[in-house]
Amino acid sequence: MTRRLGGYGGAGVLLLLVSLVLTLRIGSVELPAGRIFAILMHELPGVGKWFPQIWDAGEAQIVLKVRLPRIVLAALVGAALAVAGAAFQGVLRNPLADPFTLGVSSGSSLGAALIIFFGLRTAWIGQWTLPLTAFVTGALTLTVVLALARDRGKLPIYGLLLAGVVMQSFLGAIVTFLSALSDRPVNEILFWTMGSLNLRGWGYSLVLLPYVLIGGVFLWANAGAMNLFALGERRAGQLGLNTERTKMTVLLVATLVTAAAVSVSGVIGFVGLIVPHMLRLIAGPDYRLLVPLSALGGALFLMWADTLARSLFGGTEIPLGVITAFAGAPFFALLLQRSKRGKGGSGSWTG
Amino acid sequence: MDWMKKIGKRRQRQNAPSTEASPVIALHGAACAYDGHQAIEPLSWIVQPGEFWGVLGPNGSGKSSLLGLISGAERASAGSVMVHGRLLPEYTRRELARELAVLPQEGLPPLGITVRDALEMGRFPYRNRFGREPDSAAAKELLMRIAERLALTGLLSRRLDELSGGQRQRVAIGQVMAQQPKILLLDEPTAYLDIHYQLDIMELVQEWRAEEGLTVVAVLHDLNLASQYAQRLLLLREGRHAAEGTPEEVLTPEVVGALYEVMPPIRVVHEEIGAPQMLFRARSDPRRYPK
Repeated sequence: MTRRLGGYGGAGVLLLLVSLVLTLRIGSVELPAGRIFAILMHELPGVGKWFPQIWDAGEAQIVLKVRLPRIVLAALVGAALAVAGAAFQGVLRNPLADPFTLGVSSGSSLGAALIIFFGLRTAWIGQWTLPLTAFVTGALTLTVVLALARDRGKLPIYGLLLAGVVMQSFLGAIVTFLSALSDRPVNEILFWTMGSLNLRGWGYSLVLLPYVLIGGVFLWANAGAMNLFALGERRAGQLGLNTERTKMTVLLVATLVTAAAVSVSGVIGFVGLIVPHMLRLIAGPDYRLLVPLSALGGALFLMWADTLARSLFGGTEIPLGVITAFAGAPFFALLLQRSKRGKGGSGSWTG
Repeated sequence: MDWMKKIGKRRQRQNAPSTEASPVIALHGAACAYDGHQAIEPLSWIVQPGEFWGVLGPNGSGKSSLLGLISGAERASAGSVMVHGRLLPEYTRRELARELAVLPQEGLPPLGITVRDALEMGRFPYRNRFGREPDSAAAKELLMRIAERLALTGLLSRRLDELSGGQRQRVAIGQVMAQQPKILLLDEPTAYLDIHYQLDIMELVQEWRAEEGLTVVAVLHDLNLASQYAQRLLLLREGRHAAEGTPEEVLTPEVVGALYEVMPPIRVVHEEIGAPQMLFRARSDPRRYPK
């Protein structure tokens, strides 16, 4: 296990670094990859002196102040959503569960929109206000979705999806309603419904980072437990797992990580669905591998998706959620088709 | 027949007197109710160390609920359940999983995990928060020994969904062995298996019991299997204690006929293994067979 993690993880980190340089290149001003690499290395303590400054300050500004913060944020949001998706799938034993399909993202976006609508951004607890309010509304939404879907103590796969869709459209309507009422620039709320990372400085990454790190490590520590869930909750209990408590804490932490991501980026769908599933095909169903690899894969996926969003049509930016939906919806259909035939990487798919 | 001789030898071993010690499992007026339905009426029952108990009864008689009660899956609605002299609710799930293992009826589900992964899962109760075990070398060796014992060594890298039902049931036994329990509960472990695998599973359990002094409680459907392997039988009917004792004492035509509502069966004592065997006839129904 450790060796395989080292192999896949090492490859993932390498891809991430290469992608970082490549995505930094893309933009209205063309910069050679070698120079970007030098600019980045120049900033590193210790090795900086080996890369003397041979570029003008404007180029460094573009790389370090404009492009890099956005790309790092994309990576963090992607990691958060993918890890949360893997965790939801693990404890709910449902391959189609992810922050978006469960309605958690929409729930979180409602909380964020309410805070913005009433101008309370830093009202109670400073920069924590937005993510924690998003967490509360996200967790409430998840509670409602699970309650709606539960049928005689079980969570049938289709019931869960239906409940998620209903909550999604209901909460989406409220957010749209708020944005229609708002006399502030409409964009600010409306963007929660389709996600974007436009004009995001370093501050947003700093807000998100602790959630991704602490939440990610917590979920990874529970990966062994998620493996047991695949055997069925009864068997997992017989093997010494406190299934109810584990399910509760994993769902809450995954929701918190989702809410933190949504509060900086808005609703970006399907990341938590696509990434863990692709990795399952590559690395197998072991969550001790899947959780950390999902973090890397999610970061990679969203870095490139966001690069497409900002560069595909020159100056006109496409919302990031549109890109992930274009990729995700067909993928979702494919997974649904496979789950009907009752086969797939994660084994038993009914709760 | 080779396996019959083996069983004959085993019976002599079984008849050795059990040492008097504190009971492994003790139920005192324990009842089990869910969804407003009383699955088990207050029941008192004592299991001594090293015993092999068979639990018999018709469908819906509370056999599985009884296992649920002992394994902590169901809470006693009245009375108490003790394991090794300690009340069940005082155990954490993890502690209980080191004392007591359950072999599920349907074996393991056909997942994409490997046999090795499935065996490792049996070590879960011994692992810390980060999935490490204090003595990981010893654990690894244990798993290899188990794999060898169950003839799974060549299958370690195969996925469960590539195995047959009988093979998966073997992996399930391996997982349960990896738990190193002192008590083994079997929930109709042979329900979906043919005779070959049925005997295979029972033989493995017997060997394990003989070596480790394991206590076994098995819910069984097959009376002949029960009388061959169990030292003592508990008969349940509609959630009530119907009878208990050795197979010779309990498996009489009158008791069995009444328990399953069939004609009193023909009882034959097996000439080699000495266990009572049964032949059944359905209770004739005058409406269906008019004279």
